[in-house]
Amino acid sequence: MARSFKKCMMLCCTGKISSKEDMAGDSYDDAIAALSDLLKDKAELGSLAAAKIKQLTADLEAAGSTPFNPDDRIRTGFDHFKKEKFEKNPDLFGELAKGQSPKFMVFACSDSRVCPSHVLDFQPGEAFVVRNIANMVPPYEKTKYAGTGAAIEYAVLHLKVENIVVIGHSCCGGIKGLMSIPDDGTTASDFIEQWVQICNPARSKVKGGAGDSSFSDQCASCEKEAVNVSLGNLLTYPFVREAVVSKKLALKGAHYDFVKGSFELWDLDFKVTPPVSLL
Amino acid sequence: MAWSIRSRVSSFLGSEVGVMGSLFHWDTCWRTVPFSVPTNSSSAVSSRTRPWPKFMNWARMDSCYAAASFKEKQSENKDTDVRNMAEAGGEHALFGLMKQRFLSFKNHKYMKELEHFQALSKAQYPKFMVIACADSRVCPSNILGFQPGEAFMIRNIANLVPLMKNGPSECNAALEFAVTTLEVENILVIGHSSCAGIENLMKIQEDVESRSFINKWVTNGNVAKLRTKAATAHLSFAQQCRFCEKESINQSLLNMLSYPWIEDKVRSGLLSLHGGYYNFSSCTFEKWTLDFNGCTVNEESSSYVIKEQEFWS
Repeated sequence: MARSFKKCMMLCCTGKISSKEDMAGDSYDDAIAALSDLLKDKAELGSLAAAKIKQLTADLEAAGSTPFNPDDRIRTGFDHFKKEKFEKNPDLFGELAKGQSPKFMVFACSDSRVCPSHVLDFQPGEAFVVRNIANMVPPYEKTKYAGTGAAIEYAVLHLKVENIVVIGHSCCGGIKGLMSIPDDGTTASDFIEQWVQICNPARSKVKGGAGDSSFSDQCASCEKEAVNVSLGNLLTYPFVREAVVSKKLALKGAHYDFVKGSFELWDLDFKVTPPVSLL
Repeated sequence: MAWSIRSRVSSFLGSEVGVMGSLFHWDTCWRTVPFSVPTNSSSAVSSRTRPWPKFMNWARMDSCYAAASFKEKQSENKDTDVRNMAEAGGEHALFGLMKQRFLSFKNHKYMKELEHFQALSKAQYPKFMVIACADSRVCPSNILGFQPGEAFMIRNIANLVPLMKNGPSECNAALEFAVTTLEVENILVIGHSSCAGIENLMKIQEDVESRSFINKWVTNGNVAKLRTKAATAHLSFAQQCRFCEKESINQSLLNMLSYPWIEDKVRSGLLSLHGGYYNFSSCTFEKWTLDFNGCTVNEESSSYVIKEQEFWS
């Protein structure tokens, strides 16, 4: 079960070709032969294999020239930020050094491809950002998942953000993992499956209405349904509910599709109308 | 509880990547206006392998992009300024602003490196996992220039990593995924100056029970607080907080070793654990690496040694 889950997750979203256990042997020729045999049986993996081989080729070309040095990479990144942003905007950064007043709190996935600073061009000071697997918001719960509660409490009560946006995305490995959990609920990972089951209601809804749709279509639906589950979970935090009802806070869902290059945004509409007497 | 999810969906750009001729953009009144952009048809049909875009190519694009987008934001048009959004007309302004931001990303970045984004859409190969604070001023994509595909990221209050034995947390699932599935080679925990989470931790009084989520979460950094109090009793509260900001990074690095699948990889040299500290007043960055062989982690006490320490200003 562990290997099948790991394999499932790996096919979804990693660049690593199968582990050594799955390969015929350690030599290059054996590896290529095993890959060819696999693709004869599973032609649908052809485009995925092509993408991975392209990346492997690029990696080997790069490795052949200079090995990856993490220190150099972050140094270059920091020097660029300091020169092109920090030193060119002294007023902005001077103000930010004194305090932050972001209008947004954002929940985004930890996926390396979906940072909101890129996708929505958030600049320093604009968005208080929480990132976790599959951009999930667990319901109010004092003992477990205090990290989320802490972030929401700080953003709503102290920073007084005006908007909370939960952004899902295409090809989400966490959602695919949720949809791949067997119906008997057996899990193979230490923490991942337990975490993604926060959005079990989304999985149930999608599976219930799935009909003949493909697994990947079901996952795409679940990516958006899970955002809605998280929006609903936000309302279980009393300070969020109060701010929404008094119109100081808006809750929004969003979905970034990096395959199509598209972005959708929607509102959660929640209000309590004044009571009307029936007498 | 009953609520309706008003599905007023604003779809910013629904074009398939393969359809290169024209894009449609939706304005806030729901009309469609054909909008064509220069198409990069050569990359759409090219079957040549392109190497991973070098950081300095991103950096050159970023300079033009940053100049254009900062100029827009500083312009007279209040709709483009997040901070003036409330005065500009509420909901419509917000949708308009987010549309503009996404289009800016799409035109300046996504379309310019289309082949790279198409490859990324099939799989991600980040070399880094980054754990950073949720603070709006310290996004690692800004301060360290991480580009799409480079860094798998967790952001939480005070960039804390709890011990494995503390049970499920948001952090554990992401760590497990990054280390066992994505097999990242580096984990970087980045702390920062004036961290409200750390300040909160330092202010907690042990004998007072708190009902706040924040207090419950930041006590994951308690060992760092105890070390700080022991080492800096003679310093001001602000200086103690600075010390604790860095000490908590090291505590988080040590806490990661409580996960067996992390410890195994670090021991066999497949994974390195790094700390980083960003001071946003002086715009300086310190970086160091945990020296695994010099660390001891056990129930009663733990100690660490760091190496390859650098300071960039």
